[in-house]
Order: sequence, then C-alpha cells, then structure tokens
Amino acid sequence: MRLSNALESSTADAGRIGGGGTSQRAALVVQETHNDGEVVEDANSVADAIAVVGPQLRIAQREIGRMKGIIDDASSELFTSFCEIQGAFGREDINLTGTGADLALTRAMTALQFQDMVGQLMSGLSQRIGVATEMLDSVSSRGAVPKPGLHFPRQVVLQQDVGSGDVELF
Amino acid sequence: MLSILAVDDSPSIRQMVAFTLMGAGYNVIEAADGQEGLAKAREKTVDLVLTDQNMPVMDGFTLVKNLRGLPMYSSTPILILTTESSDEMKAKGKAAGATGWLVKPFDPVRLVEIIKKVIR
Repeated sequence: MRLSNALESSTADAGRIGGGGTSQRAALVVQETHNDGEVVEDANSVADAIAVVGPQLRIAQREIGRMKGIIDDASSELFTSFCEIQGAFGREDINLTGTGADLALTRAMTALQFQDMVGQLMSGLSQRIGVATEMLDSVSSRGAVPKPGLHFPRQVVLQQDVGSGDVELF
Repeated sequence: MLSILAVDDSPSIRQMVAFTLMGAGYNVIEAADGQEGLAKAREKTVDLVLTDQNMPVMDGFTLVKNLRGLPMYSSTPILILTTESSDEMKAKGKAAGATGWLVKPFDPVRLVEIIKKVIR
C-alpha cells in the first residue's frame, strides 16, 4: 500500500509541478528520494516475506505428500479388510439389494471412494502450493515478474456430502 | 460373458468397480490410464467401457475420442465415471462421444442398473 501510494504521489506531484521553479523541483527531488526510500524499504519487506513463506510452502507440500501416502496405505488396508469381510460371509458374489450386510458393504464402498477423493484433493492442494511457491520464487528472482506458463490446477473434487453422485445418460 | 473395460488411475476405484461388476456377472479388464485402456481395448473387444476422466498419460476424453475412431467401438457404450460434475465437463464428454456421465462416489446397485440398461 505504501509502495503504490508513494508511486501515485510522485506521479501526481510531477504532473502538477511540471517545469516549475528550482525550489519546487528540489522539493520534488527530496520527496521522490523519500518516496524511493519507502519503495526500497517496502520491496525489501516483500522479499523478506517471500524468503520466509517460500520454504514454509515447500514444507507444507512435503507434509501433504506424506498425508496422501498414509491415506493411500489406509485405503488399501481398508479395501483388503472389506474383501476379507465379504469373503467371510461366504458369498461368491455380492447381491447388492440394499439390505442388511449388503447395505453395510455398499456404505463401506462409498466411504472408500471418499477416501480416494481426499487423496485427489490433497494432490490438487500439493500442486497448488507448488505453483504458488514457484510464483513466489520467480517474483523474488526476476524482479516482480512471475515466470510465464505457471497456472494453478483446476478444482476437480467438489462433493460436499457423502451421498452418491448423479448419473446422466446422453 | 460380457466384458467391461474399467479405466481409472486409482487402484482402489478399479478394484471396487471390478468387485461390483464381477459380482454382477461381468468379466472386467482393468487399465490404469487412457493409453493402457486404449491398448487393451484394441487387444480384446469389450462390450462397455467405464472410464475416469482425470488420468495421467491419456485422459478420459482423449480415450473416448480414440475409441470412437475404431470401427468396433463406434457404438459401444462408453461411460465416464468421475468426480467432476460441471455442465461444461459433461458437455465435453458428450462431444467426445461418451454415452453417459456418472459422478463419484458411485452407488454399486445403481452402477449395475445403468450398465444393464446400456450394454448389449
């Protein structure tokens, strides 16, 4: 804010004074020097903030990766248990009539699918943080010019509850 | 026995789909991405394709377009099973040549019903 205000103020003053007197020009130089100092100070603050935030984002990205690994392992274990439980009922196939044990199995499958979706959300979050980190790195090294070609991933998981999804035949 | 190709980059989703459809009496062939799915579809002609959209190597829309370009799959039912639910994505799926759009999580009973409805 201070940075943009200083720039606006200097620009406006230059416009008003134009080719005016020496004292006015000197005052403008003093003011611009003061503004330049504020601008440099603000730019340094931004660089300092980027230097702190960047590594933290990388840590967050690694932690998300670890969480996804744990969830994937848990999902695999749960599905193995699911298959074993189904086998313990002595059925070779599932008669998914929506009653009793079949209903429980159906609910378990829904839960496992949501676990898979959590994994997707985490992958998306990790990508998003990765892009944000690259943008911050490029801004700090290229002088406020983000690296071209960086774009955030689309949101692909928007489910809000545990109900099953819609079906549409074209 | 009718055959279904199930394409999804998630092993657990593939397992659950296979579990559901084999229980309903179908033979299930699995693939982990569109490219593998296309290769398997060429090796053995299947009666229905059930594919995810967001996959590495080759996504679902590209797989659908490629399958529709093959004579043996010009009228095969191809269902997209995905987390996406926007009208924009559904329109793209329809334009690619998909037969239907199923949003995850799938209900196993409903999935079998839909497949019985569209499969020949």
